[in-house]
Amino acid sequence: MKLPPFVILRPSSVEAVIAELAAPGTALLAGGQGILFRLRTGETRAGRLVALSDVHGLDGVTQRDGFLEIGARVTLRHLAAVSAQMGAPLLADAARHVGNEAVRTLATIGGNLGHGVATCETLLALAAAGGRAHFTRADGERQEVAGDALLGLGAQVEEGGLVTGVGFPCTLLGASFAEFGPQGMWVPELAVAAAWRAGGSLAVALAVGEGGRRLFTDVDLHDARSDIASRLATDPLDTSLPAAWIAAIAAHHASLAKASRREGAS
Amino acid sequence: MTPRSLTVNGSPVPLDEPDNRTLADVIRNDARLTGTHDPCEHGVCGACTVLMDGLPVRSCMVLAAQAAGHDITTVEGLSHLDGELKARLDAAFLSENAFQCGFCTPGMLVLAFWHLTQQDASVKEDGIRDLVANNLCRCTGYRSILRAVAKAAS
Repeated sequence: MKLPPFVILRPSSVEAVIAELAAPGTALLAGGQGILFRLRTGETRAGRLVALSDVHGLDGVTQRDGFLEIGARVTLRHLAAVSAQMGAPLLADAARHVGNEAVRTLATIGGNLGHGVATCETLLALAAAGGRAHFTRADGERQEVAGDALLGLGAQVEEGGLVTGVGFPCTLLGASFAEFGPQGMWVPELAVAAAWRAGGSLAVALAVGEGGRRLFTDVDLHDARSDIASRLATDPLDTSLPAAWIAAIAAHHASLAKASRREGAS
Repeated sequence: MTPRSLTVNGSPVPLDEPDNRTLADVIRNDARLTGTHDPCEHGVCGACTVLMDGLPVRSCMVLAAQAAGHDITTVEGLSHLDGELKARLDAAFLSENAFQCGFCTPGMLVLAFWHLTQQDASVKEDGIRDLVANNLCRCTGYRSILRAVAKAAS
C-alpha cells in the first residue's frame, strides 16, 4: 500500500496555511499519523500536503488564567508527560489512550481533534472538562469551539480550517477517563471522560459506537445517576465521583453499544 | 530551511525527492538496512518500528521529510546504544523461542529495548503485555515474547 504522489508545502504562518488549504486537493500534515493512513487507503486524495512544521507558536504548553494553553503541534506523548504535572491529569490520561506508543510519539493534539470523531480521546476530555479548541476557519476568522460543537471540528478542518491550539482548564476537582470494548479494536466501542468541575457540576462526555459519531454531555442514565446521586448526597465534594460515574457507565456498556449498533443499522 | 539529510545509526543519509517517500523506504533502500521490515505499510503491524531521537515511531508512518535532521536508530543500531541490554534481549528471545517466521522480531526488539531503557519501565507482565500489544505477531501467540521481555528485564 504505497503512498500516492504528493508535494509538501511548508508555510510559516497560520494565515499562509489557511491560504494554501484553499486550493483543491490539499490536506494538512501535522504528525502524519492520521493523514498518511487515509492517503494510503484512498479515504483522502490530496496532491499537496501543507506541513505545520515551520509555523511558529504551535508547540508550547503554558499555564494562563486557570487554563493550560496547548499548541496544536504538541505531541500526545509530550502532553501525556507534562499535562498531569501542570494541573490537567484528565488530559494526560486521555492522551495516553490514543493509538499506541509509536503513534503518540508523533501524533499531535491538533490532529487528534481535527478528526472530529467523538471517540477521539482528547475531544472527549475537552468536552467533559469544559475546555475549548482555538480554531481558525477557512475564511480566516478565529473561533473558540467548546461543548458539543467540538464534534464539528472535523468537518470544518476538511473545509480548510485549522485547529491552532487548545485551552484546557486546570481547575478540575477530580476527573477520570476510560475506554471499553473488545481488546484489539482500533476505535473503542465506548469512551468516557468525566470531570468534576470547580463550582460543583459533574460533567460527563460519552461517545458510543464504532467511529464514535455521537457525543453526549451530561448523560442521563437513570441507574447510574441514582448511584451517583446517593454518593453525592453523602459527600458533595467527593473527588472520586468521576471514577464512580465511569464505573456506573461501564456497567451499561453492553446495552449502550447494542443500542448504538441498532441505531447505526437503522 | 528543512535539512536534507537524516542520521541512521550514526551515519548521515541524504534525502532525495520525491516527497512521498517514507522513513522505511530510506532505511531499507538508501541506507540498505533491511532489518527494518515493512510488511503492512500502513501503521498496523509495528514491524517497522525504529527509534527517532530515542522514541519509538513506525517508520512506514513517517515521511522521510519529517525525519530530516533527526537521529534514527534501527534494530541494527541498538547494540551501539546499549550493547549489554541488546545482548540480553537477543539471548532471551532465543532461549524463549520468541519468534517463528521472524517478521515481527525487529519491531518487537526495538520496542522492548526502548521500554527497558525507560526509568519507569514496568517489568511486570501487565506492563509488558500492554507494550507488546502495540505490535502484531501471527506466529507465537505472544506468550513467548512476553516471557522473553520479562527475562531480559530481570
